[in-house]
Amino acid sequence: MNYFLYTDRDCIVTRLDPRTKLFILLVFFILSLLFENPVFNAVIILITLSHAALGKCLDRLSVVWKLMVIITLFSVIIWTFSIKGITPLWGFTSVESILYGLSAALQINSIIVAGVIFLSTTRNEDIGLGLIELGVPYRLGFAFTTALRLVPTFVGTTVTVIQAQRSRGFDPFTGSIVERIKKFVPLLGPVFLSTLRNADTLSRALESRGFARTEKRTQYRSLKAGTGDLIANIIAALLLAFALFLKFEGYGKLEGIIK
Amino acid sequence: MTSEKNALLDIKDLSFTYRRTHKHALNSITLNIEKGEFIAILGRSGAGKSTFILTLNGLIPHFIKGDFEGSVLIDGVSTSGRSVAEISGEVGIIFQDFESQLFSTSVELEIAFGLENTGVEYEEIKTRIDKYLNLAGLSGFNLKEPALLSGGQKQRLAIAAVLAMEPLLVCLDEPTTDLDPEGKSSVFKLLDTIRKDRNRAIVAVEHETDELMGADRCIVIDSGKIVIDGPPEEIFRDISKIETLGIMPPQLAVLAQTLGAGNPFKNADDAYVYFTSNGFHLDTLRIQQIINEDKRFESSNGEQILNMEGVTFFYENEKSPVLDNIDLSICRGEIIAIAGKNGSGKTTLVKQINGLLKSTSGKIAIDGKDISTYSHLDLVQKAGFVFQNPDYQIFSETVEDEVAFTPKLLSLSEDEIRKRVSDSLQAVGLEENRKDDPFVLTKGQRQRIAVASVLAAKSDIIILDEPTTGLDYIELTGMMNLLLKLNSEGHTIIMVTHSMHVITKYARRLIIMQDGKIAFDGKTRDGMKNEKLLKECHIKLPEVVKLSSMLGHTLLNIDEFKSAIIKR
Repeated sequence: MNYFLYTDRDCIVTRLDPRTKLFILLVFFILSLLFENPVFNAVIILITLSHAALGKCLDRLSVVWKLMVIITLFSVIIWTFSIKGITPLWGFTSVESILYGLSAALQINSIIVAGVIFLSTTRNEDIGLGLIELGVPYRLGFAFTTALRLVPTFVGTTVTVIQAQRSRGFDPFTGSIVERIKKFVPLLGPVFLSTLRNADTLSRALESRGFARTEKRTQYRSLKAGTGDLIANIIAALLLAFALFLKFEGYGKLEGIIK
Repeated sequence: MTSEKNALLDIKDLSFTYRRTHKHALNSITLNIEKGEFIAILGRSGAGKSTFILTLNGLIPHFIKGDFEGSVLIDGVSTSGRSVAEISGEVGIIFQDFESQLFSTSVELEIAFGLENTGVEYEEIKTRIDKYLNLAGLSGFNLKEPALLSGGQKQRLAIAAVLAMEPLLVCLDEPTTDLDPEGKSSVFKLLDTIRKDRNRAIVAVEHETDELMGADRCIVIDSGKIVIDGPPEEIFRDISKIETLGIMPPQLAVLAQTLGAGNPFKNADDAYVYFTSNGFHLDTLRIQQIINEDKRFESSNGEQILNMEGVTFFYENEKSPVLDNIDLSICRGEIIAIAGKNGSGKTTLVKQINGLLKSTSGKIAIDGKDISTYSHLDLVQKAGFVFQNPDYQIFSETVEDEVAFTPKLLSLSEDEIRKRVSDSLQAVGLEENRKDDPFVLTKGQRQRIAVASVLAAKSDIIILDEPTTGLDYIELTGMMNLLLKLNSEGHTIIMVTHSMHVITKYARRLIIMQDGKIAFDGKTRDGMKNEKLLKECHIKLPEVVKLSSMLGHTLLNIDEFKSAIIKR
């Protein structure tokens, strides 16, 4: 099984310079957190989704869609009970509190979508390269991308460990949520141990291949920002400027929340 | 030794003790290696082979700390004053675990990594990528993701990535242990190719003694000391000594000794010539006896215990089935090996039996009842599963807690739990370790804990995925004898395995999987006659089987062969 998000697909988004992609990611993060109004946030998630469509990675969202549904449910439930609005619905709930919960869910989800787009369209080495070009020290950039790389390995190990325990009669998927969490704790032992062991081999392999031997490291891959990057950066910057303009003009608020 | 020039590798009085341990892992090793040599390192588990390899590029003492004495000189320069990264240009290491040593997202970037670190310019990196991918048989794979390669391709990529740095010394720590037969032979082929460059030396830790007859020297390490150092034809003359050191003797060496041929035979042809020209024959009466034993064993099986009908399995989002309409019937008391290439569906097949994977369509019944009608805990008592890597399942602090895990889940009485734990530990020979932390035991012992855990559930069927991978000869023999004993006590044993030794010596029935289908199902002896299929599945006939078929019969292993030799 392959748990990596990145797949080598040739398209406009994949071809962009990683620095451009980092900027787009940043713009989406800011946009997602700017407004309270669910309509505005719905528009923003639509923009992120169309960006995903452009990057041919909508199918990659299948990995996270369950998480997104759970977040939406939790968000709506929690905000409905913890925030009060002026238009009562039934009981102590209000129209505004539900809208607020929905809005918060859209915010988190568009951040997730933007993150998945970034990871699905950017080669791991390019993330590192982009960070280094932006002034991050090589070792730090490498450590960051290695951590990203270990996530899928970690997921794979967890799946195997759960299977191994299931075959001994242990079933972590039954019982209440608290019981399930309690059952998962002992599984972390073998998962961490195996991951540590893998990380140990990895670090030995890195050392053995001259990791960070000289300051004068050459790069086989080089970054080349082209016209496409220029256009993408301008669009992202304009989008951000427009959104900031709306924000400071007072748009995108959710009226009727009692704070 | 002519030493006006420096030896490539010059080791003097090398000793090493790991931190927080008292025993020498390496104990005054002195050794010279010259350019062009191919050296095989052998020895039992825990003998110090890997430790030895790690000293060659300075990972010991720089990366792994401990008490380091003596000196390791590479081309006349000591490793102790230099960092691992500096030494990396001269000594390259390839590890057993090919998954963890590859970290790039494309094949060419994997090769480029070491070169970038040493400051090689772009054009040169490009040239070397092409050169070494070509050498490793991976031309045209430049942009492929390493994660999508087969095991053999991954390991060859790891080797190519190290070779691209053009080191003087290439070290390999069990490079073929985790590979299927196809991957194994492709790696051995690559090693043969790189040997031709006489400016380089190769040091390889290897268990596959049958493949080592071409090495220049074999060095056996035991308890951190070099106990044997010599050419293979010399060291494999003394079979019993080799066996006591935990090393599986090559079959042809055993045969040579039996026939009094002096040096071990190089291959089956070589053995055939000696055998026929010295008046040896195979006793047809004895062979008939062996065939009758097969039949007797088959008829002694009990009633049907497992039945599969039309079992098909798809992974989510995949178009072609991993299992394609499988029909299979297994009787109580059988001992079965399932072989086939990686990805042919072996493990997926056995995971259906205890419900770890649920078939997309088809019926699976144990003891005449569909497995979906069993509760999870009932099914565990019907079919137990031992994973390839015991470390995925061990999490208790003591051996006995680990074994008591399933009995506790079954809510048995205290007395019953205690009894089952004792019985199981006794069966696997670990009674004395019951209070030990599983983590401090050897891989072979941890494998036994995993088997004991299944025994404690009193599972009728015991399924094992690659039960002998990474075990030395003594551990392997111990594990297989344990399985034979359990089999004779009525357990049905199903093993997924690549090991021809395990198949030909221990399995009565052989199932060969190919592209999700059962390509062969029958007596192991009949399976060995199906040369076309074996070839397609990259299953290499053991030399003794080859020899016996040259002589017109099918004998499975050296013991059978030896018992049928007569001299006229």
